[in-house]
Amino acid sequence: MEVKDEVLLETRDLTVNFHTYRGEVKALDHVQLQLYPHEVLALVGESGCGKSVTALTILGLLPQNAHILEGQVIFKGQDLLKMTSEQMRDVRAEGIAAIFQDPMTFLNPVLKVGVQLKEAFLVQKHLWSAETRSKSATTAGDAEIRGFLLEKESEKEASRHESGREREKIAEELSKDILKLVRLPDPERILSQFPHELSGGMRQRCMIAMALARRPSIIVADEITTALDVTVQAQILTLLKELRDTIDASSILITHDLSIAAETADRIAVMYAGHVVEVATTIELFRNPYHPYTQLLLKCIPDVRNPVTHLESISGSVPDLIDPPTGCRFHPRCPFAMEVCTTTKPVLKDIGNGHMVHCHLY
Amino acid sequence: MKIYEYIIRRLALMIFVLFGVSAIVFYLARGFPAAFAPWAQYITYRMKPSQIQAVIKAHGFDQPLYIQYLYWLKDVFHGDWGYSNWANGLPTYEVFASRFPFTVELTVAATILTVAIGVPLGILSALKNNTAADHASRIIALTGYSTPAYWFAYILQLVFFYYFYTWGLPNLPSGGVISQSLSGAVPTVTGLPIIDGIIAGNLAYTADAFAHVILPAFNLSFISLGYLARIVRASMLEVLRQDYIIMARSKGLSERIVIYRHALRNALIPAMTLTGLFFAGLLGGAIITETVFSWPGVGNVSLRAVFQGDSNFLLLYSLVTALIIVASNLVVDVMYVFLDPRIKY
Amino acid sequence: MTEQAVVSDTRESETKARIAELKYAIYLMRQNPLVLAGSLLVIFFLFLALTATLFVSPDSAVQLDFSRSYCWSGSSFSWTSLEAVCPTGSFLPLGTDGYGRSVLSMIVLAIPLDLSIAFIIVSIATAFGVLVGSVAGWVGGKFDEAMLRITDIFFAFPGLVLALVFAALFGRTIETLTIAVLLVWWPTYVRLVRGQVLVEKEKTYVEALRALGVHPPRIVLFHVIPNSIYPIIVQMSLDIGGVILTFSALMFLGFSPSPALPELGNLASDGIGHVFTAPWLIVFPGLTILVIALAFNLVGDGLRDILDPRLRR
Repeated sequence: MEVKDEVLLETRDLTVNFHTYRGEVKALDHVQLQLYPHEVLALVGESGCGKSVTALTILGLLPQNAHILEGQVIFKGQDLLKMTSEQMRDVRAEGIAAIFQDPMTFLNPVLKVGVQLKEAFLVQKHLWSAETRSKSATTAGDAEIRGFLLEKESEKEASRHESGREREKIAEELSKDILKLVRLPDPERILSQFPHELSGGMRQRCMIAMALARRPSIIVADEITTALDVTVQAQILTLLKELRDTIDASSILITHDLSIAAETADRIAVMYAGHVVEVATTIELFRNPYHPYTQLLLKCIPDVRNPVTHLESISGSVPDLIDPPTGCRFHPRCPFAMEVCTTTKPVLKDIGNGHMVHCHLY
Repeated sequence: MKIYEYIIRRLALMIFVLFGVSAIVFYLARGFPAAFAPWAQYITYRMKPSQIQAVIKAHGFDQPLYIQYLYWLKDVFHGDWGYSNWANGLPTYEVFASRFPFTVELTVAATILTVAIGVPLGILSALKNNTAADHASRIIALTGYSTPAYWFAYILQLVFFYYFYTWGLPNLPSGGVISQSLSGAVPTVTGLPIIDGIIAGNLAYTADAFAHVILPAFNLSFISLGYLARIVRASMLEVLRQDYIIMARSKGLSERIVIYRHALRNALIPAMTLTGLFFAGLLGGAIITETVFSWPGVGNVSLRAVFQGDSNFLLLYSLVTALIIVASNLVVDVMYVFLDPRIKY
Repeated sequence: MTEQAVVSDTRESETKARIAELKYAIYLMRQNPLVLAGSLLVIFFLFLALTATLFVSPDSAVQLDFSRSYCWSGSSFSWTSLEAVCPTGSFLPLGTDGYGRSVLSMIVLAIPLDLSIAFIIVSIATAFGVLVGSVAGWVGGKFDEAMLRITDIFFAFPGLVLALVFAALFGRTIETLTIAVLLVWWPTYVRLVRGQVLVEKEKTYVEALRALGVHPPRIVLFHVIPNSIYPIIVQMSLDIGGVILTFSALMFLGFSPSPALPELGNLASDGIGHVFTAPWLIVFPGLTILVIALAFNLVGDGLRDILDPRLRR
């Protein structure tokens, strides 16, 4: 399935702190992740475990009080953390796209949806030079888009430099097509509406469209279903599964819901208190969880087939990241904690088949 | 439809407020004849006591206060605002109307200055948050807000009129609307010297009028531009913290587009409304500035009216300014509906 | 459950919260040297106000010496070439006014007067606002409506007009001038407190206190108001500067009880006819007002910054 040697995106030893008035929050501690082509990697964990921080670090969108102490984010052979803002902007415009949690707050309320969608197209420099357009036309997944782009491309071969207005019109057409791609009816009308005039599910699809518009290699989806109710959640997940076959991109799906990960992901990475504790393919993880935290998490999920009278939970609470536990950050809550767990941090061990655990037990 | 309901309700409120203002001013200005004698506007020093009594009776000044109020209302509905003896015995309406355009010119100039300096200052402070530039603009802003208007006016005159002259630099006039020599050189169309000069194509006149308006306009705007800058800064900072700015940045948009298209559209809404209110407040006549700069506007004259106890003028003046303030509040609130698509009535 | 229990429960978490807030406040203060400077200035002026009579005897306000009126001890620099020079030997660093009194001494004497009037006005306005505003916010109904309309009317008056008319009418004593300025300021506080009470009224602790049968006046006075004190404090500190500006403006326009009164605006008015022959008369008293108002505005502005993001957390 995947070409194991070719990693699309890799984070190495990513360590990020936040300066707050209460002290230093050690949000990420040597996070290691690999993302391969054509796969969906789920990043799972409780709130505050650092999933979103990882995403923001990859995107280069950390707030001012964040400090990257060490680590690298390798994408297409380059370390994103060493790039200038200009370069990062280009990466975000055409390489890595993001979809966020709450479409109400993440869409600008005073701008029409059409404006916000068109700018996702207009920002891509490569779209507007005739040469690379033929290349991108053939890599586009959906038949509609592919056909449309080839058409436009032949038209525009004569004039390489379009005027601003022509670009606007092309962007408008592309926007309508992409709205069709995310299964939104009446794209014309939606483009002229404001975000608050649409329903939650429609807004989320628009955000997805804005990400897809850039034909990215990587899509980072941060809790995109959390703000939606369950039925809409199901629709969005179905859409993602459909798109997955047509769009040639890998996704990092961030969620706290293991069942969503189970449904959509190829591989799952479990995070706890700022570091990755276990990574495996979905089936492997559910069949053979190695890390105590993963095991406890899976036990917490009630099974419809075996009703119980008592819901399982994990004792203790998430540690305060200003003063995290020494050694392995999970040891205060771990039923298998040993002496060594309180003093030294475990190393990521490869069990085989791409299954990795971060624990002294192995 | 609901917005029309809202506007009508506000208009009704406005009428109520105007009645309230007029009642208060009426009570103060006419209710204490020992201090302010209302008939002083209708008599000359040559009149005998019996004639004065006749005047008092004729205008009903011996009646109870509420009856006088009703008489006054009746007169006003017929357009009669009474006479102002101290201002060459002219009808009060003329005293007001002849001077109002000058106040308008000053107000427009001051508002333009305030926005032109205040808004960029605020944006700059927000973008360079907590740096030296931010602190500097904060001091400028707060200094403006703490400055006594009369003090700054005299400082301006001292520097730009006197010192510039003694240093051999071209100096700005110390007062008035137009130089004596050019007075009357242009037909009065709007009453605003700068505009009239442009209409008549008389550039020298326009330039002279412009030179006269700079100092008083700057005096007025200096005090408020700081406040505007603070508001713009605060709302910019608020907006830049929002999620949709993260989203815009995640699209790889240039910082310029993020600021101008996404941030400013949201951040400037409170600034616009504030400007509207500032404009309205100034139209009420910046009494101190007009006095110091001998600006023949409405505020200048109102001071003399107060000293003369001219209830007619004070009533007209208060009502006009109250009307402007309340009406602009309404306009600003309605503007909000159009600026922010989320708001519905 | 008693009122004490409800209070102590909330008090405990409140104290913890307050300590955290204090840490945050200090953090912000460190980021903002201007607020520190403003606070120091305020302390300086308060100190000066209290000790003024130690430096300058109040008698110097009535010791008039017309032989040296409007003079400047010209050694250091000259304002214009038109000013008179003071007789040598006298310590007159800021020149003299029309009565031959040292401007510096007069300014020092004027500071306590201006500051105390400003404090009195702001305190009365706040007290009145708390009283009327909390009733309006709590009881609502017709009284609230009436208060809203009345404050609307007062807000419709531009700047000084109402104060001017009142002052011109009722004479020129410090008391009437105080009332005149109060007329302009009181509606702001009524609206502010009313707004705060409206918000607090919906909170659960109020519901708990009501369920216990605690009398509303007690609830408002001892619980609601203390919890909504922050915006009121910000408003008060910002207004002290504004009140001084307004009050001195009235004096400047000619409403002072006595032309020789050592009050900053009044001192400045002395210089009106002498802008080019004795500019220091306007410059220094006005500058003093500016610095005082600036100090209070810096503190108030800084307070607003400190208190505002806290609400968002």
